[in-house]
Amino acid sequence: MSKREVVVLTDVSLITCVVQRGVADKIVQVAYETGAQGATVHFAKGMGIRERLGVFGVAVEVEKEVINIVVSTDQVERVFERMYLAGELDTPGMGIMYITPLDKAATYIPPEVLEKLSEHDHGHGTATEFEPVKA
Amino acid sequence: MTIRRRARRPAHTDKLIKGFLPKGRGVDVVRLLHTELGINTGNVSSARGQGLTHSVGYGDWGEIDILTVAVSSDRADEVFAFIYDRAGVGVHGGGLLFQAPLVKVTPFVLPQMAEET
Repeated sequence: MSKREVVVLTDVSLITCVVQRGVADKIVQVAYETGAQGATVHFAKGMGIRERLGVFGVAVEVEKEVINIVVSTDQVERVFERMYLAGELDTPGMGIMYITPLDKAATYIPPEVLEKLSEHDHGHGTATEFEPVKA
Repeated sequence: MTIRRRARRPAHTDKLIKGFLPKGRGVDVVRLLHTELGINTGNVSSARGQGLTHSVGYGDWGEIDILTVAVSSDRADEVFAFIYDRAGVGVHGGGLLFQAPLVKVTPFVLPQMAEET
């Protein structure tokens, strides 16, 4: 059986940002401008400052958007800061965001980029051989 | 009332593997994890994504599956490579897969039930 390689990236972090519905696109756009290469957004329900708008102060669920962005550890502080400012998270009730350190990440890496990484390997990428499981 | 104490396990012994995969691939992988590796802790949710997959979508956004699997560290590399291979993560537009440490995970065991025919 031929061996294939799992090319994994190390020194990567996950930024998770939870904001009110409708705000995510603006934050993702800023993250792109700062160097992020991809983003995912999904909906969620949660609590926030708007829960006080419920009838007689009864708490209501508020629709949220959850943004996930994986970036290199070199970039994470800068992207995080720009996202924070874009989402105006310094305003009470606007949302919350946090960084999760990752062991590794894998995705398609164009051959030319892979070659460049191999030449100047600073520990950002490693390759592990594995035997594909039979279908 | 009796309090049973369990031996404390070292922190960060378990892993969370998460994948942003093209729409429809998440459920297939969960099924394969169950049948081929005996992993029952896979979950899939839907999201929109940019710059990750070639899923059909609207404008710059495409529909994606978010796959979440919690595994013990001794199986983490095996499960990671399995998902990478079976989900086609290494192919252009195949999405993104990553692994993060977990502090604690509860076991998830399916009840013994007769197979439905």
